[in-house]
Amino acid sequence: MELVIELVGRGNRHFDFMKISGERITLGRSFDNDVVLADPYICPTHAVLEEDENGTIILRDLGSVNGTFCKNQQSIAERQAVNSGDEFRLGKTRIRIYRKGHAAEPSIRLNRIEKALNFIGKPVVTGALALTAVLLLLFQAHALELYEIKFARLLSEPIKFSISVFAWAFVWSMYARLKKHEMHFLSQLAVTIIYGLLVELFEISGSWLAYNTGAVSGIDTFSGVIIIPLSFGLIWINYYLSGYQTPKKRLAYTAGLITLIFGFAYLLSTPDADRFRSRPQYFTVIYPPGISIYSAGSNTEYMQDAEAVFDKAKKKVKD
Amino acid sequence: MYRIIKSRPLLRFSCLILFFIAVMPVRAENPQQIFSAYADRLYQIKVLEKQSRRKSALGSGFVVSRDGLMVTNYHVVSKFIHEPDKYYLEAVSVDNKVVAITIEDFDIINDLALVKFHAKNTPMLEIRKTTLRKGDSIYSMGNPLDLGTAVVPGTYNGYTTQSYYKRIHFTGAINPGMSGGPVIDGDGKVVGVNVATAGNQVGFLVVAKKLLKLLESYQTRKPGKLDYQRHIEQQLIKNQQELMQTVLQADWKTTRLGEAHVLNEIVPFIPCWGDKGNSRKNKDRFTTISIQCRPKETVYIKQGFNTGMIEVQYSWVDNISLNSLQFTNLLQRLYGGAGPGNSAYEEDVTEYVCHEGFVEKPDERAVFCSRAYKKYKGLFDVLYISTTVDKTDKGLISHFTLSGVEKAPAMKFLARFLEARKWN
Repeated sequence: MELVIELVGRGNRHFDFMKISGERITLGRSFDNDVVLADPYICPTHAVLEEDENGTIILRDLGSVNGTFCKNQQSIAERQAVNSGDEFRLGKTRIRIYRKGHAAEPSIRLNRIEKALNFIGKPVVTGALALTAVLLLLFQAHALELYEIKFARLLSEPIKFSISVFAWAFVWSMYARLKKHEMHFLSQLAVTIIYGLLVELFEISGSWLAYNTGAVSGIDTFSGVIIIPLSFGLIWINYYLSGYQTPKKRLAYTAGLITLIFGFAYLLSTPDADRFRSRPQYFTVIYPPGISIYSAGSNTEYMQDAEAVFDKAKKKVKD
Repeated sequence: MYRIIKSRPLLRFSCLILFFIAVMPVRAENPQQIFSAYADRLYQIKVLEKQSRRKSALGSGFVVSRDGLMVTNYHVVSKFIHEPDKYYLEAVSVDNKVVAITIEDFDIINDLALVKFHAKNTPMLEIRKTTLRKGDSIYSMGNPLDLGTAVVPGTYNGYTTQSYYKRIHFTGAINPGMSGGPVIDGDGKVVGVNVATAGNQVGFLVVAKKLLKLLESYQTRKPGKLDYQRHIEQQLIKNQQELMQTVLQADWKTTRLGEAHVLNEIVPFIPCWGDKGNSRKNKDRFTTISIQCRPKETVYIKQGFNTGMIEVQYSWVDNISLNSLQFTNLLQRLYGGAGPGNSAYEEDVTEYVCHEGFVEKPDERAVFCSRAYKKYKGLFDVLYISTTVDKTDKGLISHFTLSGVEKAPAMKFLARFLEARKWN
């Protein structure tokens, strides 16, 4: 018989394939075995694989100290029929046994996302993205500065942004490394920067719309609603870049992490939201005349609408 | 009576002398005599917490009727008025006799309260009906800082100016605990009631006339248990109607601020102050000038909750070297800083509800907010703030707050405030 034996590490990590043929394949720690395993919990002659008269592969434990186990942790007493692809544990070592003709998993197609991610992971592109973000933040800090312009003070926001983006990308790269996967650090970084830029873009355009159309009550809902799918996208790609998962698993992980993060943020924000606010809450952002498209209504119209706040306040007494 | 006296001349004579002794004012000109002559009409008023039986608020009071009617400040007993289940009231005489007292009536606007204990023929103070002259010596009495009854000589200095709720300006040290105590002239007649101090020998007294008015309305009021909350509500609404009418009927004059015309003192009791908000930090980039008008006094409802504020404020901003985004950010910060003019807690008011939008001529972003009083129906705190948005070389922030007003006068005020804006 001709068999392939796969050594499997923790977290289903693949270690090694060994192709072996013979009537009788012995497994153990001593060097005269067909498959030599380095695990100290394995006996010098631990187990043997044989073929019976029907052509079934049989695994036999040779009276080992720590035993041989099926995947469901059941100890193999004497002999155990083995199907191609079955997994066993000897000592602390996991092995999988395949027949030569075992069908391989279909290959994963290199898809468009992958191509895009590889593109933004190019040093030039990542660098350009980082530069754009830093310049935008510098511009924003400059636009907000009312007093003497000090370069060091303008830098504080870009530095904060850089640190958090680096830290986020670094954590994901480390995670990929742990999973014996490529780190894709630059791609992770680029994706995170794009996320930051998109969040900013949506926030600015949201508040600009609110200012000009008067839909001020929608602004909080808008930014709250948009940030969840954006974050979902980011984490989904972070997972994608740091290891192979089935699409289902990736979605589940992403959803889990999103729930965790936003759930935590929500828990932290609740005591604050419940507190009585003695100051009015209103939309304070205004835009320069050059980039505004509002139309000022008549004062009578304004007063008519303003009058409604009394009834709304009165209603609040009842609640 | 006349006949009996006529037939018995001796008795008539002795009667006359008795009558004189009882009614003839004790003409006491030094504090020592004042104290010994009138101390028996003074009481310390205590608000005590029911469970711990500890004092929670202290003040002074004085007897104004033979059957034990006493005057004190509303703010002394306000804790009891708002939470009668949690507190009880006591009065302690100079010789440490403790009597239970009940609330009979109060005037929240003028900070007066009438309390009563059971008595027959107890000594009392008369109330002076004529006015004094500036410089007259008067004597404030009370129990400062729970240290025992004291008499403080001082001077009558007329009524406070620029004031809606006219008070007597008293030069003399009034300290906490003396609130509600009487201020008497040399004849022992009450000219005012201790109410507040501005420190440094500047004290304020409730005018005796307001006390006479309260006594009169108390005597004509239908007997029965006083509903404190409704009573406060009625007084606040009535006061607000009169106050807003005075304000709205006034001729609103404008003054220049930068290149804009803004409201000047609407009425004398809302005086205006100016300020140039330029520091070294911003002197090369922008300058601001502001004008702020607000009354010196508000109406105290309870600790942490006052009302009756009318506040008008403008800031003119000149741009020196800010770019348009920076200037907009400056306006945004000024525009975003509006807060209430009075203080109130969650149990007193709702949160603000706002309307935001644009007004025209000049084009301004404007927000108008109101919060309702939870216990006094129909009363609101209102605030408005606007900023010009059509220019980046100069800007104007306009702001007002009203507290404890009804909807109709608040809307009239808003309309006139909008009309008054001029920009050239």
